Amino acid sequence: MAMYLVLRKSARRKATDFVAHSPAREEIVAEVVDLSTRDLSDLRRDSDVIQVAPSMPTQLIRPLESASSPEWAIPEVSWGVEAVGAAGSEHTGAGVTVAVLDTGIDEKHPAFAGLEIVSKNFTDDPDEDLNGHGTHCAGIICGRTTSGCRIGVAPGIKRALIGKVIGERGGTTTSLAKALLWAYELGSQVINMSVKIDVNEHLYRLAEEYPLDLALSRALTDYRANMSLFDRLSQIITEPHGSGPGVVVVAAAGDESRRDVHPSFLVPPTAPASSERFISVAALGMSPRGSASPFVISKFTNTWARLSAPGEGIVSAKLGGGWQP
Amino acid sequence: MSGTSMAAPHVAGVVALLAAKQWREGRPLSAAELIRRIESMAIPVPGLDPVDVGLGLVQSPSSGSGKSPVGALAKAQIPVDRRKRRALVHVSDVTDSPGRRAITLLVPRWKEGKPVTLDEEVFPSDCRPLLKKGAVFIASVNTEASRTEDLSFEDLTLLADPD
Repeated sequence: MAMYLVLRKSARRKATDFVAHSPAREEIVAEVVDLSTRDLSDLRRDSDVIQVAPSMPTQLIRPLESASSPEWAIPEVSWGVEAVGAAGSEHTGAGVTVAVLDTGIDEKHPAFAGLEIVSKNFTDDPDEDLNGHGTHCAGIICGRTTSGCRIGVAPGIKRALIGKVIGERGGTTTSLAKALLWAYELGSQVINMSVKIDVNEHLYRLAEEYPLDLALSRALTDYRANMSLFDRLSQIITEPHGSGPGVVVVAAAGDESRRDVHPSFLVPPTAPASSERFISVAALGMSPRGSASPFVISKFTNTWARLSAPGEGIVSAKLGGGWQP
Repeated sequence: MSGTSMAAPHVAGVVALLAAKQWREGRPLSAAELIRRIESMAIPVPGLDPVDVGLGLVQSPSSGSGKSPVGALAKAQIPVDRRKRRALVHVSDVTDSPGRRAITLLVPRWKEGKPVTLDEEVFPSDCRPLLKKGAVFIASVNTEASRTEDLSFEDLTLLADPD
């Protein structure tokens, strides 16, 4: 028996299911089920089943700590907020609901004062953000300006859905898919995530059970099934449906490239950021003074992302209060 | 912190700004339309490969008020890609000769990315002190301009001050 994620048209919706609607207005649910090989083949013959994929481990797209130089100062406006032109914009994001699928949030941080937070924990860990990553990311999206420091691109956002999908030991593709449907059904217009499928961990676990060549084949097949499932999910949730206009999903492209080691050490966007309708994002840093270009591509950034944005030395909300460079 | 994890939330924030703007103007957009709009508003980054940066640096919807953090106003005749409403302008060099200061700019997708040197005189006087080597501006393009070959900038927002 193994855990599977099943995307199906919901003839049999349970109260606990989160539901998306296909363009044909059919309800789509993501179910997590424990299946034997025999159950699986039955399921594949079921015409209501859209995609089936085995649960795979996920992990945070782990950022690098900024080398905190002694002259680091709290900026009036984060350089990222400036560079995307948000500082000069009269728009603040008021009325928009955003979802952050990450490590949770430090709700008590002053940067989130007045923000209506709806949170749901999709992990077995405690509800709080124990990592700080989710708090930092939420601060960049909608953090309020406190003590004269603007960290948020859209500080007028009043409502945030915080889905904790990564715990101390990572997460799973099944919980990520459920969280995406949760954020979609609760009316978020934009979802942010920095999560990747952890193929290595999946391979290690399979290799404990099977010979290595077989484990590798299984890992690749499972990865492909998950990519298809997230492709399909990305199409479904970006389409307008009965009660809403669909949701824009923005995903970190991944930090696996190693340009500093060799120019050819490049990796394309990681899954599920690579899904058909998700916006994958590359990171930019500021160039040293007098350079030919105003920005540099971050050495770790994966290639073939759809857009780029500031991603080096970004100051935002720190776990427990204050700012983290 | 540094990572694509920090880059993605900037894009998510900009999507929220655009969604709010459209809602306020009574023209809400579907997710697919928001994605198209956000991608078309991105500006190419000079000197960087599209394989690395995709369609470019994400940009917030303009306020339409013409305000900018420095409020500098330039009327320099600088052609840019006219499909874009904004462009990144990088001051790559400043050279002084008797009675004259020349400003060398790099503007992506213009003159095949080659630098262009302009006399300081073409910029209004309040803007000149900001034209330092290494300074980076985001310029709004005056799309009202009738001449297609040389659209002018409405304003320059100082993005990076070398000092």
